[in-house]
Amino acid sequence: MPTQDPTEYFIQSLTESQNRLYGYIYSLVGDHHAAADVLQECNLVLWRKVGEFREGSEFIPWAFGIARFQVMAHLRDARRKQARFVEADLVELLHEEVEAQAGQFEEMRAALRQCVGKLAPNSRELVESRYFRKLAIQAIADETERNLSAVKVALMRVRQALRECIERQLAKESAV
Amino acid sequence: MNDELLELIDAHRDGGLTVGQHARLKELLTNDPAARRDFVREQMLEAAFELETPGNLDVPPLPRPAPRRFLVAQVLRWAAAAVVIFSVGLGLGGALNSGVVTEEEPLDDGIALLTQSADAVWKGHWQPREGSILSAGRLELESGLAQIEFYSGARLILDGEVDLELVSANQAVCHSGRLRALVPPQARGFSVMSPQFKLVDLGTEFGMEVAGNGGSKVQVFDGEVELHSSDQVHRLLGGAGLSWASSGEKADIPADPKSFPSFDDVRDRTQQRAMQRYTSWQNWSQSLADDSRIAARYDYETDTHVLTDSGSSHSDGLIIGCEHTNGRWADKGALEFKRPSDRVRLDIPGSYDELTLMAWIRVDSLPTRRQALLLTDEYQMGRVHWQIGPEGELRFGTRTGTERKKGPTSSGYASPVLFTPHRIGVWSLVCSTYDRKAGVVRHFFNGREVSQHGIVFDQPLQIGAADIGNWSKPLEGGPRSNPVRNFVGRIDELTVWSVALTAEEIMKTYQSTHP
Repeated sequence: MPTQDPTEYFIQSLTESQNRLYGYIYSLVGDHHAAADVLQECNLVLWRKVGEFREGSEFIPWAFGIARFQVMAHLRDARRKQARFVEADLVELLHEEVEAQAGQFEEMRAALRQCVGKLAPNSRELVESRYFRKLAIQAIADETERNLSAVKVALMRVRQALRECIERQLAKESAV
Repeated sequence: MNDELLELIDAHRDGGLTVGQHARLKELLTNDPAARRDFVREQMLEAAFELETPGNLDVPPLPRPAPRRFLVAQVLRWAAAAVVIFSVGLGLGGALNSGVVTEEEPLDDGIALLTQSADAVWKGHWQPREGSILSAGRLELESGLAQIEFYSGARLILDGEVDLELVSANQAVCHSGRLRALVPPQARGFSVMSPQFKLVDLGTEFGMEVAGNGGSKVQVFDGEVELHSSDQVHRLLGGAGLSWASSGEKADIPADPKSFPSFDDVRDRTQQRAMQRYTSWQNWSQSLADDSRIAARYDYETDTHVLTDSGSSHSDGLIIGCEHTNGRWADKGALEFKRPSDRVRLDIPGSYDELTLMAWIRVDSLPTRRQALLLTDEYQMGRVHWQIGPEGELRFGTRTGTERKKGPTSSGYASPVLFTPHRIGVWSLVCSTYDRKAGVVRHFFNGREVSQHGIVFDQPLQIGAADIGNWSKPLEGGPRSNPVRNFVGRIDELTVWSVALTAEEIMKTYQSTHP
């Protein structure tokens, strides 16, 4: 980007990578509120280090590296407050996989949308109730007048179908 | 993916890992790259769901891909704020707070209310009604009279063709047309901009006109206003007026309160108009008397405890609780449903291959639960449930089975969200049709089709013993013994047709019956 103002390039990269960073951070933190907080902190650090960002180098790997340290810092703080599942050593274990998948995050979101669109109406309504509208399983059971375990089983199945469909889509894309 | 891992991930997501499960999950992740891959995929999926906008339920394609939380503008704004904060050397605390993501909460972005309207025709397809909440934005009256009350207390009459822009509870822009304003002391400082000036009201009543050529006129009937232009301030007292041409030329003009419609005029014309509409509704209602396609019809013109059915089955309803009140017009009867006890009991016989349910309702509250319009007792095979969903969508459901082992036991067809905070307290025509031959369920709102759904389970439908506005006999052995489903609001007309009315017929009905 020789002709572009470096700050402008930086802002553009930062803006474009917000969702991927969110995917990265959420995967390790496992909590939406915490992930949003860590993302904000991470953005701040990225800003502070704008001078270290070398023009022409790739933004995403650099940003993921910083996100990783922010996640670690968050987990250290969080551990003091309450036991967390993901600990620092797990971050070590998972970060390569997380980086690979977070890099593909936008493609995955597109695949998800396509796959939900292909579901049978009932399954789709179930997915929308549970994951988009965030209804509790009990609430869905009440709404649809089904029992709790039936809804749980149905959700597990539809999730399985979605997962398989997304894998297929992503494989198709990378094959082309 | 192996079941054990899936179970562990589910438990993890629900925050319920036991110490043993925790150790096991860690072990799997440590030793098995495939497990790591699946685990991360599940987490990514969860993050992706979070970023999806909550949706438009049944309308393909899925909700827009726009990321909900991290809009470009937001990030840029935030980024700019961060730079400023660093340059003045403040700590991180402020910056973090400024960017904190808050949970979405329904917001009332209303700034004014449409209180009266006489023959008002608006440009565009949204026709605000008496009671409609108005947000910031353009409001273009094509003809008729309309009265607006700003949340600040200022009142405006729009007279004829007016192009008004609502800015805030305290400000509007008149792009063209005539308006009269009453600004009580509580709303002092209310301002109206014209192409030439900003009129700041110091507590008064005035008329204003912006002509097509851009010139503006102001007449002050009472009190005092200030006209601010880029380089000067004019004060006008009661009885004075000023004409300000687009060329900048100014001239004094007299103030004549009679040259603008008064608030009494608007009220009178609104009432007169309501009487006309009511009469024409009565005629229309009469014309249905011999329509054999009507299975049951309740016009709510009653003051007893019986809701008379003028349809072919004579299935009169019995009113329980519910207060008698007025409907779309002051003289029209209606029932008010408020408490969990309120309901109308009825029993509509017959089995239907086609069905249209249609009602004029005024939703007065949006609790986050279902609200019954017409619910059959229990929910037996082939029976209908017609209601408003927790998000404000219209739902038509049918019972399709009784054995849960054999798959879904009901089919629900939900419209997109219709009842937003802006539609609370406003009369609306809701309508759903069921058509076996065409294989579709369709939803209509104020005469317009809002969604269409393929019938999932083809069967004839029955109503039988049912409630309007409640659910008398919930399903036995259902998840809860007495779910609260009572409707909160008013109903002043409900018709059950034994045919699926066409879109044209429904639009025509709306046009003949709207307030």
